[in-house]
Amino acid sequence: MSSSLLLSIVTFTYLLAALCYGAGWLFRFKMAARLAIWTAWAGLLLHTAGIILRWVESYQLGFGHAPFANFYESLVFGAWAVVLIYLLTEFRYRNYALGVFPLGVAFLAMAYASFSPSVESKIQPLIPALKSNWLIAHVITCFLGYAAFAVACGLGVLYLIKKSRAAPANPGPGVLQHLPSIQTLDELIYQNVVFGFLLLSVGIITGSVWANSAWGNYWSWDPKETWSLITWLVYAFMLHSRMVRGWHGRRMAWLAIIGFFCVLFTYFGVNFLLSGLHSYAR
Amino acid sequence: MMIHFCKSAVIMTQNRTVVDRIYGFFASMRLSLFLFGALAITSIFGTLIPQEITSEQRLRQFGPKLNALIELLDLGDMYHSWWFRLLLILLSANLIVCSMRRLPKTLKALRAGRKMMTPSRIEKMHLHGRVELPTSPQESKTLISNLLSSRFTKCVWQQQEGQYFAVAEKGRWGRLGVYFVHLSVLLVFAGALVGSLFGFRGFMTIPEKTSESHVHLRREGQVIPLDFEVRCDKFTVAFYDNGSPKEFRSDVSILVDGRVVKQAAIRVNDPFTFRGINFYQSTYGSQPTNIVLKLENVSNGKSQQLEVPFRQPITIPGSKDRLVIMDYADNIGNFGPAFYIGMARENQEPDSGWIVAKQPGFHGNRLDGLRINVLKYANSYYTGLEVKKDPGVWLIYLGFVLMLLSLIFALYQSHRRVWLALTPGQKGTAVHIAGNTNKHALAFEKDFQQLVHDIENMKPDSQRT
Repeated sequence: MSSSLLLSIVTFTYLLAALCYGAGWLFRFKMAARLAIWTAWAGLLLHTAGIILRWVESYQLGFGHAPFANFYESLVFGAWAVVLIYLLTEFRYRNYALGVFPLGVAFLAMAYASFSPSVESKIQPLIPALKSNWLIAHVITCFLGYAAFAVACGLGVLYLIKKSRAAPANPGPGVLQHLPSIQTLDELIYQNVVFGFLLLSVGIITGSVWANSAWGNYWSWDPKETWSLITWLVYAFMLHSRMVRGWHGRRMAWLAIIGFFCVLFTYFGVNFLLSGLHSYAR
Repeated sequence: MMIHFCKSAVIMTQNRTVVDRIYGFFASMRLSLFLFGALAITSIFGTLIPQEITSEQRLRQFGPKLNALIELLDLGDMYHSWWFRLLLILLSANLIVCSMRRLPKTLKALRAGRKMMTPSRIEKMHLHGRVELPTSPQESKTLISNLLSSRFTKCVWQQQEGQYFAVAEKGRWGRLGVYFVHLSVLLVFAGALVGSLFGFRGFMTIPEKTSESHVHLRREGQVIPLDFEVRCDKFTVAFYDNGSPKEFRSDVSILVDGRVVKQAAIRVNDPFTFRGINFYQSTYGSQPTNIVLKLENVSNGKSQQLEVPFRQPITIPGSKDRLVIMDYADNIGNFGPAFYIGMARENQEPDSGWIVAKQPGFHGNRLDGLRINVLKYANSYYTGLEVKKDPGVWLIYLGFVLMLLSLIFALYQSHRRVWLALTPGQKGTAVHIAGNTNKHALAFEKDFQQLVHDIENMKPDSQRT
């Protein structure tokens, strides 16, 4: 079995999981929720196997490298990270109502990577600039960070919806009842942002050390670097405003959403709209 | 006398308020948040406006009006502009003053947190509980202290008139981590400053088989001489089957006083260091060498051959005519390789044009009444090396390591404390418990309720001993 077939199967596994999560949440169908959890974990397992298989295949082609080298591979790994972070959050907080969003996002990313004609999915040899062990540390930490920010953003949207609909006297429509409480959502947003911030910091630092060993410049204000710094500053703003000034609730939710827009721009926008060191990531 | 005293007091308070205000301004969280926002928003402009282009290119791209604005605000090189640097200096000052002002408070709070609490104070805490135990206060104390020592790192008891008080805590570093994060940011800034003051950054282009001992600085346009020479022995570029580059490699020798002292291969991601100066593979190209031209005077048929260096003007021997090979192209208008030659003959207008190398009879191969033929030439590679000296890098890396370690403490280590008061109660002992944490309140609340529950259900097994 080839890795691309395996990853196509993963794509549809995520679609199934997202649908089951949706059914479990909207119709309070317990069996569906349980099925969703199993499907999502199975998808993650297959996904992991697919990434490893692709890694092995690249060695069989004679120019082995970790599968984090082009846009297709980064989308696949990004989807993997989102599902992993979500499932860990779910496992820790035992709330199964939220799965439809992250699994939906993972499905869309995988589908875009697999089926869009503009995304090259062939395994390509590494250009000299990417031939470094820092590649693995840099990509893994950045994407785990991005995934945590993605989950925080989704939670932020849910927080805002639930907060605006649910006055204390009126618990809100049925679907909102099954979401975690406002306080839990707030805490979950914060937890994910903290994790993302730590991982983004590691990602920026590994990238910087790498750039210094490849080009002799640990910081060159390249658009991607700068946008990752902008993202870092937004989340630093968020953490300080919470830890020192005690901001909670709505403001945190909005900052989580704004922060994730910066992440998206760092990932997509810089590749497609601006040029620079990371232009091979197109 | 009285009036005089008042005056000086007024002046004193005024002075103090001014200093206080400045100090307060730099210590404020509002300034930090403003600077985070300002740096983020201004940086966006820097990514939208190309930073490394000339003012002519920018003029073409943005038009005169917008370009004037960009130049006024230094947006074409904004990360090195005075106002962006000012923002960074303000951020450093803010970090230092903020940390200096908060650190003593944190230390004081850590010490104060070790004070015991009476039952009435415990009940005023946000998170508190009350449990009745059948055992005597002394027995309860023994049981509870076993329980606490497994969950907290430090536990202190006090006894007073048959009552027992305790403070247990864990994760004090969680409160101090943030100061080390701030220190790490300052280390990175310090490293960047040291690098820009005592280091340089430039490039060298070295044709194969030649050596170079001068570094051209990018920003300042200066030239820095090195006390050794770098000779490019060989440059190789390897390709994959699909045509994308696989490896760029320069084999170099280091010469001191003309003698080879070291040899190395420089690849992308694999730099080379000599005497604190780092060399990185950056670009490459090919250029013609050993070019031999034949010049024939069309009017009198006299001809001569001479070897001309690439891009270096020469005077043609036996005349005052000057000639320079200005450029080379692999293929000009499908006529094959060609040289762009500039000519300035005595008493004639200067002329220039492309001379086709492989077609000697080409009618255009003449300048200023001279027919020019390229008799022979060879192509050789030159390597482009990034050359850098940065004595600040170790500070940067130290800052990076410190940042990661202290971020983990600052973000994940919560400082958890519980206070207990054991007083004689109706059944045996009344236990009052209060808890407090500086982060992860929800998780702590669960653990706190668990602790209260566990104390309530303790088995008095110590009675057996």
